[in-house]
Amino acid sequence: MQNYRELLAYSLISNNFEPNSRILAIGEISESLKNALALKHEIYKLINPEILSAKQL
Amino acid sequence: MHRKLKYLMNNTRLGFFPLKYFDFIFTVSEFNKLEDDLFIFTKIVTNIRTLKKDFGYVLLSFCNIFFSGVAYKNSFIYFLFNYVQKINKFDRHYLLLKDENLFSLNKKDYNLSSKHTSVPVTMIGYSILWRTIPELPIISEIRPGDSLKKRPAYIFHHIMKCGGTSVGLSLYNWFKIIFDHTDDPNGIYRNINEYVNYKINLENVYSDCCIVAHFQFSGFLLPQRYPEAIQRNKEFRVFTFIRDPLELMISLYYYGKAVSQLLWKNT
Repeated sequence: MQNYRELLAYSLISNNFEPNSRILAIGEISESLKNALALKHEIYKLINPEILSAKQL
Repeated sequence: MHRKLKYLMNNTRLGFFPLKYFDFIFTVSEFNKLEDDLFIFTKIVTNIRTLKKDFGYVLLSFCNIFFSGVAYKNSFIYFLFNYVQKINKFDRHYLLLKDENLFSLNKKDYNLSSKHTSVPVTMIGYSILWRTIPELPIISEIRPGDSLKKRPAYIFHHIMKCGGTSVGLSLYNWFKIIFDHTDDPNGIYRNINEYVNYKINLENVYSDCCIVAHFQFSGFLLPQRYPEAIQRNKEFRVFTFIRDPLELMISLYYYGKAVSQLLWKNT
């Protein structure tokens, strides 16, 4: 299920977004997905996603 | 390879959270273990909306558990179903459960049984693709006509029997349509006298407008009815659709015949 969801995210991004788009991954993603996306896009990872529910940004 | 990989973390002292910055935000692992709290759900959605660009997209993936055909947890999914603008469509879960290729069956204890033994549960992955379109402020200091300097308004010259009705219907998808017909039920004139005496004030037309009209009668051709549109040709763009002349005349013949029969019946 996890692989399926990562593949879905990857195909959606690679088919619909221009190179160098700014992409934010919330929480954990696999190394392979991270590396694949970093080749073409500017990818950010939110390493403490609990902040989203803890306070107003 | 990792040149473009950056990390965001809780460092608000430095103001590190860039607002309206991301084209796409996604998660494939989080939000499965949130407590059922409407306040928390609202805060997450608001924060994500703050981080993404106005027309950006968000993909949120979840797993939901079904036990004996009943959804067991993850109220956040139901919150999102009701409160965000979804793009993708969903089948009802009982339809998914009919096809073995669309779900996975796990034997795992999810505290569903009082004896803490493993029970078979069905897991379905949900992916919600979400997009928000920013709303325009209600009050603006800009006059309607000012927008035309940046983007033009359009005038569609509807030549009869050239597919103009279908074109007009399609234009509804992109423009605010203003009918300038003599006799259209959607038009603004009640009779031919009003059409002759009045016309649309182009100062009130803005960039998202498209005027649709038949400019085909002598005295009411486009340069005669709206000479200012011709002069301000960067602010108003005119377009039309034409058709093979023979086909047009045949179509016009049958149209005239049908209309005259209808008029004859009514009288």
